[in-house]
Amino acid sequence: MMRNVLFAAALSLAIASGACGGKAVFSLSAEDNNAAALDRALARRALPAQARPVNASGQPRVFAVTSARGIVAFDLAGDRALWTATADVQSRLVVGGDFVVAREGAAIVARDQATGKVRWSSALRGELIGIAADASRAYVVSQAGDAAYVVALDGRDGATRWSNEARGRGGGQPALGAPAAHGGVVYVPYLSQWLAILDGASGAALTRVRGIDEEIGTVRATSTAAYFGSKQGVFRLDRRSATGTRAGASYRQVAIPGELERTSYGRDVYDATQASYGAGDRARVVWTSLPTASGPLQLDGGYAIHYLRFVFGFDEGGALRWAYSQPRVDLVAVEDTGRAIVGVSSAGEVVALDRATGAVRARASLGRGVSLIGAALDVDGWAPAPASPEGEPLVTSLGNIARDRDARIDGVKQLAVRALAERPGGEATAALLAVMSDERASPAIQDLASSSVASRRDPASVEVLVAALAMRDDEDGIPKPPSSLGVAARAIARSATGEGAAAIDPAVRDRAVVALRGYLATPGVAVADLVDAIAAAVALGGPSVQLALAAHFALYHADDELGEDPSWQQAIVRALDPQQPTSRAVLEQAVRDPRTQPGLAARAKAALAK
Amino acid sequence: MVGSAAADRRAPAAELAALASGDVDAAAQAAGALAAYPDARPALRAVLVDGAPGPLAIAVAGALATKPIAAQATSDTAALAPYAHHRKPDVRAAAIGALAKLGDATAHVVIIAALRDPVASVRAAAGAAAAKNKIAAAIDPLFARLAHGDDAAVHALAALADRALAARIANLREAPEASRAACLGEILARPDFDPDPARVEVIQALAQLRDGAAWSALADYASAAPKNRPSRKAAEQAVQAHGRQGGQ
Repeated sequence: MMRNVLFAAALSLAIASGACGGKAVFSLSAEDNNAAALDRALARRALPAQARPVNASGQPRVFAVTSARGIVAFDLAGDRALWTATADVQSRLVVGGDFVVAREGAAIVARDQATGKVRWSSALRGELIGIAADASRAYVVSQAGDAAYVVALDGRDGATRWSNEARGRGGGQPALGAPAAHGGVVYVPYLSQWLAILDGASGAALTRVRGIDEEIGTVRATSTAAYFGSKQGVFRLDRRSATGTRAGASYRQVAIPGELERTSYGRDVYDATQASYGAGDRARVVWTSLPTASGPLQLDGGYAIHYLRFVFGFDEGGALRWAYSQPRVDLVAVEDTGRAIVGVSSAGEVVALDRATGAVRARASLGRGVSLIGAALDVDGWAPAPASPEGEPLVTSLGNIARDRDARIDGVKQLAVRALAERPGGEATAALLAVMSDERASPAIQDLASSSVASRRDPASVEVLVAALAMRDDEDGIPKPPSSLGVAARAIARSATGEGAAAIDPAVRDRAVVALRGYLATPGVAVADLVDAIAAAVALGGPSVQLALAAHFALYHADDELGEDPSWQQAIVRALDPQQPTSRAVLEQAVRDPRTQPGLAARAKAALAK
Repeated sequence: MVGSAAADRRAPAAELAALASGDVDAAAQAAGALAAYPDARPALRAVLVDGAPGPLAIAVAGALATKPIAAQATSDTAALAPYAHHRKPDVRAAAIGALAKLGDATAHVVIIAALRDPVASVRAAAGAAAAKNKIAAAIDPLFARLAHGDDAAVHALAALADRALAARIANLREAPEASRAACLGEILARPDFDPDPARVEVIQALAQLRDGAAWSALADYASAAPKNRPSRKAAEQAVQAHGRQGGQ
């Protein structure tokens, strides 16, 4: 919203001042959203039939920036380092055909992709907004004063092939955003509203797309497709993009769990600080899509979200399918190759995940002791070794994430706990119980797990819940009621009264009754837990339950502590069935007994009168 | 005050009425007064079976244990047993103490379970009950408690120990030294612990321990035991050796 307001203000200023691009490539009045022109522009792209890396070798490669002012180049196919170089990298690394390019110090520097040696250096005009490259050129967008520039530099020698200027944003906001490029065309965001498509060889404007329903704040190019969009959603660039609307174009908003609120579809192209690697790179939606002639953007088998150390795989409908957790350190970059999800960690470990299951298909290391701040993954189309049959079960992954020791990621842990809560079955229940009893978990996570267990209505979980009722010895060898007693009892009560309760194994039911009955005569049980145990015992039913409840009622009906407690009074009187002789007898006795706690006597009388 | 002749008289109606009244203090007082009347026992048991508040339950437990009647021990035990699991520790302790005095074997399971009660005073009552009734099945649970340094086990095992049990205590390495020393010291102080070679073994075991309680026990024994006992000489030698090594 704020962005839209700023954008409108800047646009008004631009119109008022009559500013226009230096070569009229960027102007407010040029034609946009022309389907035929867009068709022609897209047809000019020299894109491979199949996804493949940009580099000329066609091999999957990683180019990573280290915290020790260096670059590491790694060949994933050969599982070998290509080279390392000392370099004062001040931006993202961008991969071209036979070169890599970045801002080094104050200049734009290209290095030979085979050797890492500096090939050329070019002065940077103003502040860097972003760099893109295709097989033969680098495209640099920068801002100096009120002017923004996009400059094409020849990948062979750094010669300036063309330069375009844009004015009109004002207020320090760049008019041009960080570009993307492939197949001889360059995509340059302009004033948050347009995506200009330029000829990479000449810089000529081929056409431009204007966002009608939302601004254009991010752009991404793979070897075979381009995307643009905002924090709200993403468009696949195709002829339908000329509609400028969400409904008319190949557009999609994927479901992003609220706990991963920082996740975006790509960097903010107008934020100069994001010309370098940053925290935003560790919270991304990663996806590939299929071309379509109609309807919304069609994801190719779902999507994933990279969030810090984690990658979550979702189906097209947004249902969580798998979760991967990188040990100890964040993943600094993750890409969807179309055949695998590939990530690289800050410790230099490359991991390739199966897109459908999250199973690890390959691992590689960029070297011992490396510390990465970011990386360019030139891995489009890469398919690592055949997938292992199955990944780690989702419930296991979620349980591990929920009990992760990293204190920074409570949001992710909440996501894991909520995802567990949505899954029926004993394994999910056991995982939630483990989170509940994890002493190192934060109170918020423990509470969430606790409420998740308590609200379960899952006959298949009763066996696990019964196990959770077992007394535990403390460090002095004294048995204590488990902290999960009340929660497990509540879940048992719900499961035993809900749909499918008849499916509870009779032997499991009996064990549950025995355990719950035991707590009626166990010192040290909190009243709240006792109340839950009573309710669960009643839900499970059976004659032995009424006998035990009657004895419990008799023992405490005159007690000046438990007998006076309104919650216990309510629970125990509600639990006793006046139709059962023993229960009726103790209720009647309580009515007669002058020592009965007054409130309880009244409740007993009311129960008998029903 | 009820005289010894009470056993031959009928329980006073006034006391029985007070026992059934809504005044808990008066009922508790009446329970004490009815302790000596055999014909009051059914009424006392009925108070427990119907459900008594804590102070009354304690008084009734005491009353039933005052002059146990062997023929009614099982009935008394059945009425008392639920109170051994009561939420109030003083009620549990009183119930276990009474169960011990009733001496009915059906209470053994309850007493053994109470050795792991969360409250130390209840465990102490259970330990004393186990020792009083010489409950063989309590020995292993007591050793488990001794391994945790539980004083209840110290006293109970000391009271139960024979020569073999004392050796087992001496060798229970997982138990804290202080607990072993205290337990062996109590055994050594028992006048009924025989024969003298068994005492010598206990003395030797105590001499292996560094805890101060071990040396206190040895010193006490060396000064108090009859002079002609070899065990006294062994204790004296141990204490002297300890002194030579700088012990106090």
